[in-house]
Amino acid sequence: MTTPGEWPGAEKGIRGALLVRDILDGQLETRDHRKVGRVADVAAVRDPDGTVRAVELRIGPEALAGRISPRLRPLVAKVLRGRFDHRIPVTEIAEVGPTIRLRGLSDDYAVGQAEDWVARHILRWIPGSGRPASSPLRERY
Amino acid sequence: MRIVTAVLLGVLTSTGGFLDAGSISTAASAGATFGLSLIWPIVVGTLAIILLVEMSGRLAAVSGKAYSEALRERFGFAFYLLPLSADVISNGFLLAAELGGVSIGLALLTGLDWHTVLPVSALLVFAMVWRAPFGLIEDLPSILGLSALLFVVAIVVQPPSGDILQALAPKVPGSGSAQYLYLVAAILGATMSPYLVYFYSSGAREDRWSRRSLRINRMTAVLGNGFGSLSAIGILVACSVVLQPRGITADSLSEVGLSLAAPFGQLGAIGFGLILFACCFGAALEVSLAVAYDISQGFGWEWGEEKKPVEAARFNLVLIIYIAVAFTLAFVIGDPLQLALFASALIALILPVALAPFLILMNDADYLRDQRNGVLTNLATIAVVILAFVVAAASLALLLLTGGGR
Repeated sequence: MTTPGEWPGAEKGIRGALLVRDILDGQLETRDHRKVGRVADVAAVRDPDGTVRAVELRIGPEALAGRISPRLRPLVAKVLRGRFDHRIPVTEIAEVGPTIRLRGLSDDYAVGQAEDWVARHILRWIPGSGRPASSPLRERY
Repeated sequence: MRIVTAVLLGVLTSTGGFLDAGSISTAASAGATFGLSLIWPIVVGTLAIILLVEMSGRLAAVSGKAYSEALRERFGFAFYLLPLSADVISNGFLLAAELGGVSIGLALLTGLDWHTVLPVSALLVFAMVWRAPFGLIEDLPSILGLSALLFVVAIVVQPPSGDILQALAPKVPGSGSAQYLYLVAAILGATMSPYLVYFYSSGAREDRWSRRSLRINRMTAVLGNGFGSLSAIGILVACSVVLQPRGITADSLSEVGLSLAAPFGQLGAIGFGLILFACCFGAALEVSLAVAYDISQGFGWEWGEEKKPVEAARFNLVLIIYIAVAFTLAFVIGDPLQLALFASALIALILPVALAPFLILMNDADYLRDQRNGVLTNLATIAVVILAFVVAAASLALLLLTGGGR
């Protein structure tokens, strides 16, 4: 599947288009250089003129289950009720390369807050877990 | 001068870091049961691990991607799950064996029961991976592990007698052929352990290797593993000289210690305690980190030993859970030597899944650019992958047939 050149930085038309292969499983990194996950799937819509256009990146177990078998996806969705699934609009992509860079900071995305949740709820009880200096969200603990 | 120091340190640490519970147990069992006739799998396994380690270092230095990262990106999530699950399961048993090895080493040094010091071993490993910088994790246990070269000295002090060339020849004895082949598979599994590949390529990323590191990579891979294998051969020879004639089959790690106690007396016994502690401690750090790297890199989480634990929270959570599970396994199953033998055979079983992707990755211009494999390296890699398939098939049959080598 190819996506016409709607990606930021890509030329219009097929010539500048990116393949789904370029972004699927790619490392997502935020503006503050935080690794927040990998692209599990790409959602696309069909425009009235028939163009298929990628709209959002999917991250999380539901999308990953669908990569193993399409039958697994509804099962995982039923069990987890989408609790750990995240979506990032493709307009948030700043740059596509070996790493996919996002425009926002890690705290701007729900998927970026997972790291923080583990730090605040689990690791904080263990001596020597440290306190990160920056990031306003982390000043809470 | 800096490059000389870096190469020297790399070679020293690879030499000292070569041995672990798996390679000690398999070499000792082999020497005590079959004499020198099982040195050849150590040599073959060493050549294979030199090749694999060099390739994983080259991949990381040129592409800036560790092996797990490249696996997920190049082959997709469904494929990545295969080596990941194989890695997590087999290394769980191996980590349990390493924790047991650390404990027996401490027990030999302190006179306490090894079960009593097992929680201390797990805490020591946890403390190191929790806060120690990567350089310390890489260097300290490995430099202590150089003490394993005492086994090489033991060969000089107490050389094997008789027709050595004939003793070195591979053979399949009539009655114990299943156990012989089981040990061949286990030695290859222990020597070519994929955790080394995951750890080494991630270490190259932690150390920010670039193209300029390619020379260090080659020398570390060849000399470090080459010298390291001498200590494994030393254990095998010492056990064949001391244990085999006395009918001791190295059923426990304490029995393996007799092979140093015979030539060196009390000093040998203490030396064996130190060797066991240092080698298994270093390997426990590497195995637990290898799994945490594998999971975190594959799922795209923050990772790295240079970060505070809260900055790579999921990576550190994986470490905590994994060490806790391995501690429980070591506590419940006990007998680190049998655990290590079983883990090594299990690793032999999963070798093809972990190693076959090298063939494609190392020829991918997107990752390696002008540093792709040449014809000879590709032929050698094909040979290693075929060997991995043969070893895996044999290991599965023999695991069932021998009930874990016994």
